[in-house]
Amino acid sequence: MASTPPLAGPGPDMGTAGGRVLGEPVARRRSRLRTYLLVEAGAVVLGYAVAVLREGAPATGGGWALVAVGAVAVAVPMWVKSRRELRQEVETRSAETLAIETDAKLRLVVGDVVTPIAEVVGRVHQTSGKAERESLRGQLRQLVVEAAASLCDGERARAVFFQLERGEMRAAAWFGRGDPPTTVFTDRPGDRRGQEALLLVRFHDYLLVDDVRAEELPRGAEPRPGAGYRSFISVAVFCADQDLGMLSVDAPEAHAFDETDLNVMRAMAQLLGAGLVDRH
Amino acid sequence: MMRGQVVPEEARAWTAGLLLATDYFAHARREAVAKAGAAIRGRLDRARRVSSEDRGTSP
Repeated sequence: MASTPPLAGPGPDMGTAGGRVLGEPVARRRSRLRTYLLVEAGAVVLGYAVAVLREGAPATGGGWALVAVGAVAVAVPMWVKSRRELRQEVETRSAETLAIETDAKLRLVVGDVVTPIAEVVGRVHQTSGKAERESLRGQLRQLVVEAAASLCDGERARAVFFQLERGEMRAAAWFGRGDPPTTVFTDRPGDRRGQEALLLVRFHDYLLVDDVRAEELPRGAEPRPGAGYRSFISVAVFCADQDLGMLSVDAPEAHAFDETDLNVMRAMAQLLGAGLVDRH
Repeated sequence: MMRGQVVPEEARAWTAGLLLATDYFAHARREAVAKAGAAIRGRLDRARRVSSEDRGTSP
């Protein structure tokens, strides 16, 4: 692990946005297997009853016992077979659902987020007026935090971009649950968290923490007292030799993010860096 | 054949600030899940057809 924690917006976590990328369940198709199995069972019961009754109902208790034993002998393999088939069907559905979720996430990240944001990055560098460029950059910062909070898998994720200016980092854009972040990361001797955050940016690192309460974190990476998050990802925003800040996403749940989210954050941070970098 | 805009209108509306991120992502998510479902089921159906054809031609 490299360094520091992200956001430190005060106050309770009043969930507003963020949310799972694929929060809505994939529509379940009605199982036809159950119908087939019921029809099969019905046909077997009917066949067995016809076979038993063809020569008249048993007259003795022993005869009925024999019929009952025969029925169990027919039913047990059918029950085992149907259980196995239903289990296989459930497993197939789970695999299909996972495949759909993965494919949908890829479509969202590449088609619905990276493509339009890359277009804005292009416009930032194409425009000649300074005011217009700054306006587009403000837009870009906001788009990136919206995308980060919406794409990362936290249930109530919040994303913040801390912009580096004159050796300090302040929130320049944020999106998601809770109040606006107020933390300022500085290099002052008493600000250990600030020093670590600035080191993360200087070394162009990222940091993913699954659970701030369970993991042994390096000094300066622990959350501020009363922080409303359990897991977070922080990524340095830079372009070539220009350090621009830190992009963070956090969630009140532990283990809210995985490596896919980390890679999304890395891509978002690089897109943001490409848009914010100044020409020498 | 498929033809369309590289950056669709909804995406342009979002990047221009004319569409809320929550609305944009809710719509994009629904579309992505629907298209992914169709694509994955199509691939699975093709794979099943290919495997049943293979069984039919095997010695």
